[in-house]
This record gives sequence, C-alpha cells and structure tokens, in this order.
Amino acid sequence: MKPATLLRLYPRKWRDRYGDEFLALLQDSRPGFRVLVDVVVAAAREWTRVLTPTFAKFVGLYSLIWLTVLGMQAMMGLPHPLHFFAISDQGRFLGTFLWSAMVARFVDNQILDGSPAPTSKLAVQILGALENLAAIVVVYACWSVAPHLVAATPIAIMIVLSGNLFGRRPEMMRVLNQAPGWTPRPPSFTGLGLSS
Amino acid sequence: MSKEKDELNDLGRFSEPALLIMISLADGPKHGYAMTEDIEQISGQRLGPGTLYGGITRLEARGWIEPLPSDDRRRPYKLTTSGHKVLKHRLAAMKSMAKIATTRLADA
Repeated sequence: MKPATLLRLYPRKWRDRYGDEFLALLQDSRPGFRVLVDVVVAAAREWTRVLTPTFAKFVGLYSLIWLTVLGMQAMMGLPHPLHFFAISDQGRFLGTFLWSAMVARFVDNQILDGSPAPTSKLAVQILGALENLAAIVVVYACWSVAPHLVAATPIAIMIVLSGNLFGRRPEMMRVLNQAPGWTPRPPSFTGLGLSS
Repeated sequence: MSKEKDELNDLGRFSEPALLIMISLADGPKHGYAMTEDIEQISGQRLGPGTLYGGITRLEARGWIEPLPSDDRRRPYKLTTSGHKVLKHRLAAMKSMAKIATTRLADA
C-alpha cells in the first residue's frame, strides 16, 4: 500500500498536524507487512482517541433519554403491537440520522478533506435508505421469530447505535448544509425537545 | 508514587514506546527516522512508524516533548523540562526495581 494511502487511514485532524512528517517517515521505512499492520493498528487507535470521549458522553445521555421515553410509553399502557411499533419507529428515525452523520463524518474526513461535494450527498442518501430497509427487516424478523423478545432487541440496538447521534450531528449538518443542492431533512425527534 | 510516573503508565500500550522515545531524545533533538534508528540501537527493537507517531502524539499532547522548527519535512522533537522530569522519575523507579530484583535473585 502506498504511503499516502496509509496516511489516509488517520483522522483528518491528525493528518493536518503530523501528515507531512509521518509521510516522510513512511517513505524512509522499509515497506512490508509489519509496517502495514503497525500503521493500520495505530490509525485505528487514533480514531478511538478522537471518537471515544464524545461517544461515551452521548451514549450515557441518550440512554437516559431513551429509558425515559420507554418508561413513559410503558406507563401509557399501549397495546403490545402499538407499543413495539412506537419504539421501533423512533429507532428508525434515529438510526437514519446516526448513519447519515457517520457517513458524512467519514466522507468529510477521509475523502473530501473538509471540502463537501455531491459525493457526500449521494453516500448519505444511499446509506440512509439502506438503514431504513434494514430497520424494517429487523422489525419484521423479530416480531415473527420471537414475539416475546420484540421489545428487547430493537431497544438494545437503538441504544448502542444512537449513542453517537449528537456527537456527529454538528459535522453532519455542516457537510450537508454546504453540499450543493442538498436540503437537510429536519430532525425527526423534535417531540423530545432535542432539536436545535 | 509520583504523578509523572503515573501519567507515563497512563499511556497504556504506548507507555513503552513513549519511554523509548524519551530516552532517545535525552541526548538531543531527533526526527522520526533518527529516533527509530536510535531506539533500535539501544533497545534492539525497531518501532513501526505508526507506533512511533502514536507515542509522539501522546507525548506532545502531555507537553513532554515539543517540535522544533524545520525547513525539512522531517520535523525534529526535543524533550521539554517536564518531559525531562518524567523521564528522570521513571528511570529512578526502574533503577530501584532492578536493584530489588538483583538482590532477590542473589538471595534465591
């Protein structure tokens, strides 16, 4: 793999700071599998450094909000199928937002170097659509295979997946707002009082 | 146990490479490739570029090393005053540990 390609594995902020000197070192190093593995592992660690604090913060916050919503729904005593669909539908919107944010972040960081282009719009749309499809499949599969577990499965998935929601949202909005011809969809969770 | 020593341990997987980088910089500023060569000479292990820069990133973030201006792409780094202190603490702890281990081996 070329040194410039290896460098692209790192977060953009890191590349801005260390990119030139790291590239010089890579070009001086003996190429080989060992160097490749070393750089891939180190790049993954830089990503966890970038994402972990935000991720942990928002997993905690969002878990709390989600549990409150679930508690309110349970107290309302909705019939079982309605209860389940209420939960899964909210998860679908949140999942779409999460995927959009993650994709926008990835595209912004790794491909566009901070210069949004129509590519990001397309990628966001495609993955948003795939996520919607996956959510529908999961909902129907859970309901038909194990009706008594339907509530537990999407809750677990949604809590984990949506933890990153707000951490990535500012970048997502920045990328989407600057992409030509793109009008961002308003957030679907205004009812929770979380929109900005 | 000193605060500096604790902080060096906090670097986790990078604590050993970080220590080697600091030892390498103890006799003067070096850039990445020079550090790699020097570390291989003194420890027998060659740090990969990712590991080396993982260590440099964390040491710089803690203010224990700092970059020097350079016209070249190969940017040299030097130990800061606090980095010097951290290294001294760590070496003193290692020396004391080695002494205890040597005594125990002799007594066994």
